[in-house]
Amino acid sequence: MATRLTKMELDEISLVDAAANPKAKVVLYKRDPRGPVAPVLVPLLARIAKDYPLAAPLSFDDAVMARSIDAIHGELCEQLWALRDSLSSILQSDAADKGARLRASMAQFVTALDATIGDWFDDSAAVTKSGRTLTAEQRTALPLFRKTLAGLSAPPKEVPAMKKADKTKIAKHVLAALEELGLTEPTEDQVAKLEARLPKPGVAGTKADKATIAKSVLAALDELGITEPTEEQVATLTARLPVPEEKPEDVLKGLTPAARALVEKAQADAAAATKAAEEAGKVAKAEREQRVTKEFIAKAQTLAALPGMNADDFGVVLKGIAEKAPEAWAKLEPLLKSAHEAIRTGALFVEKGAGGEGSGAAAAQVDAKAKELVAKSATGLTLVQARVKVWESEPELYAAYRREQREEG
Amino acid sequence: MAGDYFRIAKVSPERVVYGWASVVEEAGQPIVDLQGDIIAPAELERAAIDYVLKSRDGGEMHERRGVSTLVASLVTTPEIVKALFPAIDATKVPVGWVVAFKIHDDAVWKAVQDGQYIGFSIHGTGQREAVAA
Repeated sequence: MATRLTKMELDEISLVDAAANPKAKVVLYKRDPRGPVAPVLVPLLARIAKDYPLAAPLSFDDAVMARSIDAIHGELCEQLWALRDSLSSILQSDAADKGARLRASMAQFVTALDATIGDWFDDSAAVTKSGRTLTAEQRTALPLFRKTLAGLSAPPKEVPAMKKADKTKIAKHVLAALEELGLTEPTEDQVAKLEARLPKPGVAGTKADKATIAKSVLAALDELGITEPTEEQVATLTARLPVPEEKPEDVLKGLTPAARALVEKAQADAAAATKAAEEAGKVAKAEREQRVTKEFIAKAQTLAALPGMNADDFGVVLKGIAEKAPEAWAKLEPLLKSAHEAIRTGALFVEKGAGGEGSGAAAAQVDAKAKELVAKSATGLTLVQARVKVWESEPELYAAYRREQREEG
Repeated sequence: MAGDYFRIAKVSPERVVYGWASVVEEAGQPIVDLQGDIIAPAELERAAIDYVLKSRDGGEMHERRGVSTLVASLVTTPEIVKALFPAIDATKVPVGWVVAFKIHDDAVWKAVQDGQYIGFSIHGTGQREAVAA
């Protein structure tokens, strides 16, 4: 399923060899016939480009200044290109006095540069350099350019002290928030910024539109039993409740395919490890449950004399008691053992006769089937209990047995 | 490619690379990128304006910054295309973000000329929301 990107904050666009967006292609480039720009100009160009963004509307004065700057750039570039050409040609030549030629060329460059700088900041009306004329209008912009250049190297100015705000003019809800922040002498700037961030106080008595209330505020209103909140109540709660944190997700389009693959693999590995740990925990818990249940079934088997005993079921019951009420279990266990012994050895349940009760054919069948059940029982079924089971499961046999009993009686 | 329409633009003539930073719709259909993301035209327009105002920084493979500077930006929403190019059928123009970068770095410029760098890639932060099928 596709996902929609929202709240994007872009800080960089890169030239790449493969874009995530299939249509994000380079479609045209224009070549600089003179070769690369001298590195010394790069920071200057970048700085000026930022000071005069293309997206910003330019006044006439701004435009004149920009054109003046362009002219100066052009002149400076020409000198730099000339220097580069001169130095390159000397280095590539067979001249014996390369060092002297290089120094001479550099000296000429410095002289030319010095003269150009003098021209830029001279107060005379018009200047012609290398066949190009800087107009008077352009020259009027030069002081501004000088200011710009000075700004490049000037240390950052200290921020002037902020003006204190007049408390009598601050809204009540802003004042309350300032007090909570411990700002007893707020500046006008602080008041303005806080006021912009705080929700406007609602109108007392006006019902709030629930559809526009944040979930966290709705939950708080619900807890308070306020089903029809007013705008004022909503505003009060909104100002007091912490804002749920919204963590921006790295769009990750900034990663190279290899780096993205590494990040995604790490995330997948972490998820797999977490899942494996959870599964292992579940298995361990199930194994423990099984082992403990077996232990309690074994305990129940030792209580086989208790009436109606089914060790499988009773073992689970005993386990539940032991886990949920260990103190009660500590007292109950010896009592059950005592009851088991009393019943097992008591006269009430003593079997009479080697063949069981009765001597007829039906009694013999019941007895045989009961013994078979006792032999197969894994829960310690007694012969008496087995006979009851046979009677219950075979009513006709039970009726025959009863007839024999009456006849014998 | 619809980007040909924008070759008529007259911008700075030297060491400038033109292209699409992002295309979000074509023929009325949203473009899903290789990471499964789509971007609403209004969101792209807002983010582009924000980027022009605050950054304009161009990089190389998102590994190095400051190699270029944005010198032109145009988000081709139908409204803008209709206003700028009334003779063109705006529905045939992709909705996207056309950019131009002045390249300062020699190696990057050479890589563009050699065809090594053929596209643009945006970088920043945002939030992903599932889109109902």
